[in-house]
Amino acid sequence: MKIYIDLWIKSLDSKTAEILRKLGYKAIAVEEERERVADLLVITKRVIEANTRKELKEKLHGIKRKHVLVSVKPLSIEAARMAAHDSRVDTIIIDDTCYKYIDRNQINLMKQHSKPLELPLGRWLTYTPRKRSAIYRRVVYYLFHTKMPLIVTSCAKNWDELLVPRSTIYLLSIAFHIPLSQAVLSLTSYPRELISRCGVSI
Amino acid sequence: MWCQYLSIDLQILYTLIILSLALSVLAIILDISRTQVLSSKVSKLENLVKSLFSRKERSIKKIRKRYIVFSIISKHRYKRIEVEEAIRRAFSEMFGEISAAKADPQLIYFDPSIQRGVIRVSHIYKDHVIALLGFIREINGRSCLLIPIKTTGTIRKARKILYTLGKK
Repeated sequence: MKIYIDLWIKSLDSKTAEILRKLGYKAIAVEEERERVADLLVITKRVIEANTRKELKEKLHGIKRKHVLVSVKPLSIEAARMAAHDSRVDTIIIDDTCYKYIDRNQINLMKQHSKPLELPLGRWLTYTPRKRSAIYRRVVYYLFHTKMPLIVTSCAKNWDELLVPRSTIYLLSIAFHIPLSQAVLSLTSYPRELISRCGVSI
Repeated sequence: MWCQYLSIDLQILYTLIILSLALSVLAIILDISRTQVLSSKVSKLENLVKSLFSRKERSIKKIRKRYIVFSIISKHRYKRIEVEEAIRRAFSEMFGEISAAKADPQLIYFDPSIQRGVIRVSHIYKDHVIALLGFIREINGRSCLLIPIKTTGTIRKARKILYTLGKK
């Protein structure tokens, strides 16, 4: 049986947890946990937005490493480079605010330091066509040149923003030309590896 | 003496003529048989090529149907028309008008009491419809989530699944 994992849920309430269970998720990473839920492995997620290298350093300083997943949304080139270098960072997010800084050099650096790219897929479909295409180009370049895993998340605030695993896998296969067998890993094995790196076994 | 020689020569001549005639007849018979074999071989080859081409054409032209069983999670209860319109609109927004025409996703069955339905689609665009269903977030301004449950090749099986699989 496949263990689906969503590595970015903005806020978790009972309704969202119920639907997550229905959809077949076993583990999630939550930014803001409103209610305690059973039957789901919940770990904390910290999303750091940084403009400068110094700011990122300061924000990373106070974070506990155990049971916490750290993702960085770089808002400048120097913050992006620093995020790729730093071993405390688990993933680097690409969205409409920071896609400009995920360039070729950044992707090469990410490959060197084995930092996976995280794409909030639900949000990606809501961007303007221009931004959507820019992100698409970067993700395809990342996938083609680095052969690194792509982590797909929902970034859901409500239950209706959650990702349906089967649909997500097929969309990855259609949009990014990822074979179905590998697209499944974006929701199962790759996130699982990251979680186990944080000291949580599943 | 001369007559004797002549009669012998004539006999030889006749035998030679008969022999040549027999040989020519044999050659003709052999030739005919060979051409028959050849023609049969050629016709076999032609048939093979024809069958190959016709099979290829058939595989391109024939559109098989797939039935996708799905369920809706929402606080509201939707009508069949609302759901079908939402699916068609979402498909043409996501994959374009031409793909929508080719795929022709039809909501052939919808049970409002359990909020489950069956979509019929061309086998080529089956993946597209499954991908699309998960990303329909609202119908008529009311938030919802569509979950593809199972894909089948017959409507009978689809209906069976509709009322049995994953029912809670």
